[in-house]
Amino acid sequence: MEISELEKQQESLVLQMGKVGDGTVKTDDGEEVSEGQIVQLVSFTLDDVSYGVDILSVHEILRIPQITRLPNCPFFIKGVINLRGNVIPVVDVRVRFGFQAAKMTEMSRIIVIEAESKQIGLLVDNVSSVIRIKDSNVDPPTVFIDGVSEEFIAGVGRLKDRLVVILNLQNVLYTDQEIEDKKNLQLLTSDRKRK
Amino acid sequence: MAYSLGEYQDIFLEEADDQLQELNSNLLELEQNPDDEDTINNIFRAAHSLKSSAGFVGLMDLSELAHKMENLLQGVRDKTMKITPEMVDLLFKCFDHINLVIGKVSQGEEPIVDLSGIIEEIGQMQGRSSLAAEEKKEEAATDTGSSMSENIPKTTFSGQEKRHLKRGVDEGLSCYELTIFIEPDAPMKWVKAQLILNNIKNIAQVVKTIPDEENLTDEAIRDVLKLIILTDEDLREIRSACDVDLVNRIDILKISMEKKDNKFFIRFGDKQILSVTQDEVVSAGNDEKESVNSESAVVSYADEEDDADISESETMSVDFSGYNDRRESGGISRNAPVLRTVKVSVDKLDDLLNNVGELVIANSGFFRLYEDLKKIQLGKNVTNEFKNRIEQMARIAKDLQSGIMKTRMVPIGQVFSRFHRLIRDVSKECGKNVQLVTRGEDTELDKKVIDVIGEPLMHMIRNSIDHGIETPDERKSLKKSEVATVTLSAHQGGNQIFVEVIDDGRGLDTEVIRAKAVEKGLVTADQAGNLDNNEIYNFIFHPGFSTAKKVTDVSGRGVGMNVVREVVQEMGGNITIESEQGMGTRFIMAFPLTLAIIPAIMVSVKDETYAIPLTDVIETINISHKDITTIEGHEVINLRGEILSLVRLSQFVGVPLAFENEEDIPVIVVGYSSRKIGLIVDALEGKLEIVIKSLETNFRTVEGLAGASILGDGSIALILDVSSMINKVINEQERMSPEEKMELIKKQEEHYHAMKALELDAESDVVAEKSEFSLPVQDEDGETVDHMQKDYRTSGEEAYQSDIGSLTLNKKDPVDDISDYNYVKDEASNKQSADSGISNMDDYSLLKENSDKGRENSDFNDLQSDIASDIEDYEEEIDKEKEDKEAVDGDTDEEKTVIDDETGRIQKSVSSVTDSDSLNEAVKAEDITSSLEAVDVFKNETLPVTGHPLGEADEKVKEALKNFKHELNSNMRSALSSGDPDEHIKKKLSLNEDDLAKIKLLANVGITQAADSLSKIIDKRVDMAIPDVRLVPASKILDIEKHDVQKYVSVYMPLIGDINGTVIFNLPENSAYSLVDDLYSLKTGKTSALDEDGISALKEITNITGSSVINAFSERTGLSILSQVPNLLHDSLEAAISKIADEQYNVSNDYALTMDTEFYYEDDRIVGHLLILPDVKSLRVLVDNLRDNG
Repeated sequence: MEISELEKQQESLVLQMGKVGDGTVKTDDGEEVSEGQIVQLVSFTLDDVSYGVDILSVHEILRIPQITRLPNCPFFIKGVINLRGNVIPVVDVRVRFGFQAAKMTEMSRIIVIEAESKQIGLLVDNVSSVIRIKDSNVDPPTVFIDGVSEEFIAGVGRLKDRLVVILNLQNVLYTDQEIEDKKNLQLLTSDRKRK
Repeated sequence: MAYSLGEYQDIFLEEADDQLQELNSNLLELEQNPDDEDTINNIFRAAHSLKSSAGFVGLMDLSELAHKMENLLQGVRDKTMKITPEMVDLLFKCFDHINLVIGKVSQGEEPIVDLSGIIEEIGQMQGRSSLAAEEKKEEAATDTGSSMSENIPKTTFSGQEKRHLKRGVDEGLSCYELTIFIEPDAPMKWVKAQLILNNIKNIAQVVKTIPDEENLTDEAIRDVLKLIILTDEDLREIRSACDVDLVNRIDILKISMEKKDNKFFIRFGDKQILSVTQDEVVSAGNDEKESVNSESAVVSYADEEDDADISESETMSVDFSGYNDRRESGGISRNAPVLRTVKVSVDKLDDLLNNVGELVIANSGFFRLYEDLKKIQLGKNVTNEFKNRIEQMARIAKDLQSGIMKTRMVPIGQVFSRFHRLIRDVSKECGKNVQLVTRGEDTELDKKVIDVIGEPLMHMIRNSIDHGIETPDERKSLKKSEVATVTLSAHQGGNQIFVEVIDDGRGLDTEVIRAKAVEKGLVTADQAGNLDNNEIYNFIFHPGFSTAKKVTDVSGRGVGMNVVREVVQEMGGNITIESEQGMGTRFIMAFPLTLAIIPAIMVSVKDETYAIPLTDVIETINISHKDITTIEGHEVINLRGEILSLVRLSQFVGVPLAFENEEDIPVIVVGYSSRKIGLIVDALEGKLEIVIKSLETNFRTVEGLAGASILGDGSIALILDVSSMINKVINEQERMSPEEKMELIKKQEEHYHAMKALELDAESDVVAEKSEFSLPVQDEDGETVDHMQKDYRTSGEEAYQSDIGSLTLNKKDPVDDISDYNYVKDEASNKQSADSGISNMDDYSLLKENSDKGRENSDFNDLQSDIASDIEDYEEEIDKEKEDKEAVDGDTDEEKTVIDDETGRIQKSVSSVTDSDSLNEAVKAEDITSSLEAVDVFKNETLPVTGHPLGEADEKVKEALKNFKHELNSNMRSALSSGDPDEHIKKKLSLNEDDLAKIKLLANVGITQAADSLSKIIDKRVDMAIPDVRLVPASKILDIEKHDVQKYVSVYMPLIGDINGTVIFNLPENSAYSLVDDLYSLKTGKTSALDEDGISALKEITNITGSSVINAFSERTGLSILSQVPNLLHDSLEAAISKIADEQYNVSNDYALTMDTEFYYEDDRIVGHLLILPDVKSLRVLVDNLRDNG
């Protein structure tokens, strides 16, 4: 795909995102399925692998604004940005997933998502498109994805020609240790409730 | 006068309105989903809150109604009752009643609404639909509630009573019928009745009591006491007379008499329900008007002779339906409460504040523009006009900003003050003795927090009193003070505001809570065993969790803490509990310092900008690299005698070290509570008003950051959290092992001693050695010199530090400490200037001088106790040193000037030595010696000499140190063997401690009066130090005065008569000048020399001040003391005092009593000090006289 074409696609993303509507929708594989059966993902590519974030959790997609570094924070926190008066942390997704950090380019974007009622910015190399997948084509995360901790994988979507790793970024702000602590805590409390 | 519930009416109305709305909407929902527990809980909570707040403002009926509703809902919640349509109807009806009451109150009317009907209905409903046994107590309460009106006996008058009434009314007295409702459960009602009766009799004539006065027994009273009284007091007085413990309600009816057709009518006015908890009373005027209205019942016939009973009209009990009609007919419409406050959504305020913040920032851009405009020279008029406009705009922007700020930030005091009343009432209800202490009332919280914090606080206080605090008897047996304390405190710490409720009660019982948690099925018994205290405490926040054995009106339903936590969390805060069994409980609510504009200092490291809240900043200083000393890997500087830890901001935020200047490194001294550190930054960017944005909203707390702020250009600056930074630094330091600490101390001591030794050692060979160790200076380039300098500087500073220590240790008298400390402070500032100003050679000499001074100070004290023995030795030494000095004279010019200075000083000292007696000389001699030594050291050090490495020098230094210690020890021994100098003086004068104490008292009185008159003359507040009264050898008078090179104006005034002596007022030269300025109302700083006017003014001041001392003395002792014309000396203090002492104390007088004090202006600037020296004979007279007078 030409870069200019990609850019155009990105611009129109916001429009596409809103276009969830009437009755049946075409998946990216061309299947016609009813609206309830479809998963829509905002997708981006890291090192040749496609990743997708559920469109319902995505607030908006930004070009890179000025990022203020946050001291004394986990290494994958790129900093904070000013989003219309809100101070929002930005996670460098590459670093968080254990890839080599890369330079920001013209193509770099920040995907603003909402997790645990917090707004979080995800710094990604690019945002390619919105992908529609039939939910029956989404498998549980059995496939081992190189590098990415299974913590963040909600499932794998099968398209005709490729796979899309569907991400669950509820815990993207936390370090691995913190995530573990959190889980233990939940286990403990749910244990209590059961008894 | 409109009806009012007092100052909290507005708050109550607002809250009640909200709660009603919530109740209504929730009830509608409940109708749809009768089994939704959340909805039931919500309704329950709203009813509970309503109950509390209604009770709080004194609307007891309403509170009771809410209580009944709560009971009803409790049944539903406990699943002992089912929601039926009837019940929902009834609840809606209740809401309507509540609405009616609130409506009336908001219109400024008295809410006379009879709620007993509806309350009874609830009772019945509860009876009908109850599936299980009801709480008996509640039922009983309901019964009494409904039957109350039937208990009121009818009012009848006998002929005699009627005559009494008429007579009273004719005399112009007002006649009232009082109906007093006593709490049904109250014990010994007749005592209360009697009490009320007695109170009333003090202010009124009692015409009739029902039941009869002779018949005041518990059975007869049946909760209601009726009094017919004649009085000229107003209702308020009557109310307070009746306001006895456990009185529920007071109804007052005005009774008037009208003559018509030769008959008297007794007319009953409208009922006024005076709840005892109500502050405001409807004025009596209303009654008259009302009584003419058709609605008020006009009763009775009966002329004077008629013995027929006059029956009472039913006091107006307004039926709800009646109101409804009136409302519909347009009589009274239920308007929304008319409030003087407007509720604005905080979001709107946020936006506004953001905008204003940006306006202020944008405005600062104009100033830059103005600076640029000035450069292009548009003509003064234009630029000036431009500047004026900018300033005007800036002012308006500031006002706007502070205005909006004010709307948001509210001191918590207004919330706290509400609770005095609550505590009083609740503690009474619970039969406990509790006092409320509030702290930090000025702490400002966001309005949003203030608005909601009242309710949680109320719950917590109620809980504390009801559950936490023991009964007075229990407390007594526990040896606690009988009056328990509940403390409300608020303070800001870091980026949070803490609000605490603290009680000194029995503390939380973890076992009970544990058991209850198991019982409620929240945890299994096994799990419960493993929980720690905090986890257990957290159970009390669980909905429906209560360990109270019985449900009371106050608490115990387990709603409270649930609500508390919900509210606190809603405000982004959290609540924690600390409890110690038997000691009390502390609930700590921490709220974030949300939205607030704060002034901050902007700093930068590398290319990052950080904001430091101005409130945390103590000062900003510039230091140079060589000021920094490293102790145990921590960088410190000496800031005016204080060791200040340094933190490099770049290191803290983790950016690589920027290029560092050698000089002018900006350091921000920041403090949190009593600790402070210096932050090294790359540059200061100026002051800015910033808006704090929490990082937690979208992220979390970050160590060292209080939040972020969005600047005018849209970029983000992070705000540093000074408290956490300081804690981090301190933690690091505390992590040091004791050994390391010892090491640190030892190192400091070594520095100190090395310095000491260098100065002390007068032996020429040692000096020679020392010169050797300055060799490296020559070998390496500049750096080493710097290093050496730094060493000297540090050790000098440390020596000086130790001096402070030794001073404090040596001295017992606080006054001395203070004055010494001041002296030391002066030294410090001298030093500071020396440090900054001068480099290299000059620096050396000044440093030396300072060190000398510091040393003098400590040595001086040592020597004071030494009644000198080796004066001759010293004199020899002086001679020797003089020779040395001559030798030195031959050196370079630069050195020479320094040495000349020293010489001048020495000569001066020598001259004064000749005047003083032995001890002084000793001291002087020591000074001179040391000065000369300094010169020597100096001389030698700057000479290029080749020699041995440093290690050897070190040994020499140690040796010198040993010598010094030895010398010091022997001095101290001799001082000890000769005993306390005061003792033998006392013996000689046959004075005892008692005498001295009396003299001290006398001095206190006299000098206080002096300070008083001084402050009157100069029309400024004058503070004084506690007079230092001492018996000293005459030679030591001078010792009391501090060695000071400063020039003084000393005005002395001889005393004659029964007491001879002198009063001396010593003013530092500058202070004397400014005093003259003050007296002649000249511009400060105008006087720079004393002319005739100045002299006479100072003399006059001394005259007045001194005379007030003398007068005080005369008054106390009955002695006649006269003062003579004051004289003035303008010289150094030493010279002046020795001259005066010479006049007064010839050689034959061995001892002197000195009374010495210092006067200060309000700002701690010294005015001068007053010294009173009675001569020895007079001292005898004084003492004898004091003894005689007891």
